[in-house]
Amino acid sequence: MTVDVGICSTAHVNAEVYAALLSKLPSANLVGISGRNAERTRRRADAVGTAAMSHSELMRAVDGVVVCSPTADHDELIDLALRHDVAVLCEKPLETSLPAAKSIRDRCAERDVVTKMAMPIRFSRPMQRFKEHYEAGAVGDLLAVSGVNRGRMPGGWFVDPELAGGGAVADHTDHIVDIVRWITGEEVTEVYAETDTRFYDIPVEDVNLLSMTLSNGASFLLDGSWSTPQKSPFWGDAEVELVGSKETLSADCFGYRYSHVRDIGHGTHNESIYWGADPNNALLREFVAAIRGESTVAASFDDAVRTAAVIAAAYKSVERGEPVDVTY
Amino acid sequence: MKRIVAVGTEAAVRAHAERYRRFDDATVCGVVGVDFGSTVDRKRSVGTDDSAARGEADALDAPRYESLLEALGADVDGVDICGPGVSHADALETALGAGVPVRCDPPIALDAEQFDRLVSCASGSEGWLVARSPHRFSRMYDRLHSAVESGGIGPIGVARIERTAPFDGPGWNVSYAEVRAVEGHTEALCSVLAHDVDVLEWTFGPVERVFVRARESERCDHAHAVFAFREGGRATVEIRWHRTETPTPRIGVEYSGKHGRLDFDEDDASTAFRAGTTPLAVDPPEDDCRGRALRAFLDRLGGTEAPPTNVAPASPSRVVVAARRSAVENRPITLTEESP
Repeated sequence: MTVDVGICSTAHVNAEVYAALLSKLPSANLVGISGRNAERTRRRADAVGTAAMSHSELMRAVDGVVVCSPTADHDELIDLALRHDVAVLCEKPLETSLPAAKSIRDRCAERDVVTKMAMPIRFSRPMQRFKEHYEAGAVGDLLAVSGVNRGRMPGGWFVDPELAGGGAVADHTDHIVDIVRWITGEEVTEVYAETDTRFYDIPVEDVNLLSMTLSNGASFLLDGSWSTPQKSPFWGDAEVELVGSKETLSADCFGYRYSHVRDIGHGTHNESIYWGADPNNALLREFVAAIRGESTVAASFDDAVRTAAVIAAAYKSVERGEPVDVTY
Repeated sequence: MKRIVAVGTEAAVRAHAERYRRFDDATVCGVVGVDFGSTVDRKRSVGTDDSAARGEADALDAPRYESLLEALGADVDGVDICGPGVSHADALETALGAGVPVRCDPPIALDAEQFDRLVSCASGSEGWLVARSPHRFSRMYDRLHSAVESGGIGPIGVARIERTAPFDGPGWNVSYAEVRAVEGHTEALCSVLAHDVDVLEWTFGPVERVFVRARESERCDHAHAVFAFREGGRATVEIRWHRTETPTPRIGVEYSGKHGRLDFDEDDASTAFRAGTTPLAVDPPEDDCRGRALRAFLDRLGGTEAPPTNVAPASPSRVVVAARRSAVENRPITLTEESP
């Protein structure tokens, strides 16, 4: 049995990726793509051979949607999905503020609808093996964590503080904080943040350095800056290292790469090509399985609230110039 | 011929003496603080042959003294503190008090009181103190520095340094083990941090603010630091070493700027010359970063360049004093004084 799904909004950079993958997923039927920008929506829909629709038309036609709108629009689109009993896979972060994220979580908790966050790193095979090793006790007592999740500055609504809730902190804190919580079972209790705007002339921060403490006392350093050069051969990175009493383990989500150098005088000359198992594909397969009642494992909206709390604490730390406790 | 007194642990003194031997204009005229017995014990713990170690130690071919004061009784042009200056604070004060120029690795102090005392001692002395990290003399850091200075990546945005093995071979952390034994893990990690601070300030300008978290366990110590530069930009440094094993050498350096990124990974450099999977040294000792650091000291002793009036550079040690406070007090420390 296939499940009818759609892409709700084309604003997010991942909308195109999700559409291409869903159009090829045997268990899913990509019914359509919706968006406020008719021309862009039509272009994306045509590219994968599906229909362009309004948000309401899409909600009436599907069992589930992947919400790829600007963060500030999540609330309205998730409400629309709930009204139509449509399952939601939402791009991160859940909302532009912690209270707004909690409000969405609480409203969804009252309904029997599948709601999940788009946390593809949980589906990365290196990260899954990492979790297995950690749970088997390979690391021992956790002493320190470090992670990187740098990327190219995405531009567009991502640099509009009203629509995105901030800059690199809002965009690039979720994934690694979520994966560390998922692997270790520890929560972030304190955050010290150093931010800056150094790479681009934008109204939000593009430097995002977080020094954190986990609930077991381990230190946790994260670089989530938009520091990857636009001409870098790969978009960015997602790596985690756990230092423990027995062993130091590290995992590189996109470590499986080969180089492609073109010598044809135009376009991109040097690219790194990821050839490992695609975590986005696994994320979408799992979402479809969840709609069919066959899966429950993924990042919940409660997980999303917990990373939103870390983001809120980071911005508070910048404001105060000191470490602040995370309030969940 | 410049006559140098070397002060420090067996391993460090031996490494420096080997380099001085290769210079035509220098000789090690005295050695202070060599504790051969304890060094053998350390080497035994990592499986090194004792007789070889004893032979190398004997090859120092320099008079051994119980104290630096005693060694300075002879005609001495300079004192080389082998290892972090902070582990030989008495020697620093003794040499400066006697008006003899000194070279040592940063930091020279871990607390404000000792730092002020040494700066005051140096400024009132006929001698002087150079405390640059040997990292500055490595080709890698020099190329990175030149690339940044020439605008190769534009204004700095984020710098990132990871370090698990600052020195090669068994016993690489002997000097820091001494700091750790006397002061503690935070102080030892901050002592390693001083080298990265020196290079970062050399390349990106003065540090304005530092925040540090340090942790220890039975197996290893770990610290991370977050820096804000006075002229903008941020940096992180992570340091880790293992007490019960020598970790695989790993140094990663990345400078990201408005117009590009510079990226160095020790793993790549370690393939330049190797036996099986073991990387081997390519540079002769007199031409590696430490050799060039010692060469610079000798040139300064005999050259026309004006000697520093007190401590050069003082700032990395000042930042380390702040870093230590940050780790202890769990708050960012802002550097208020002008860096030299």
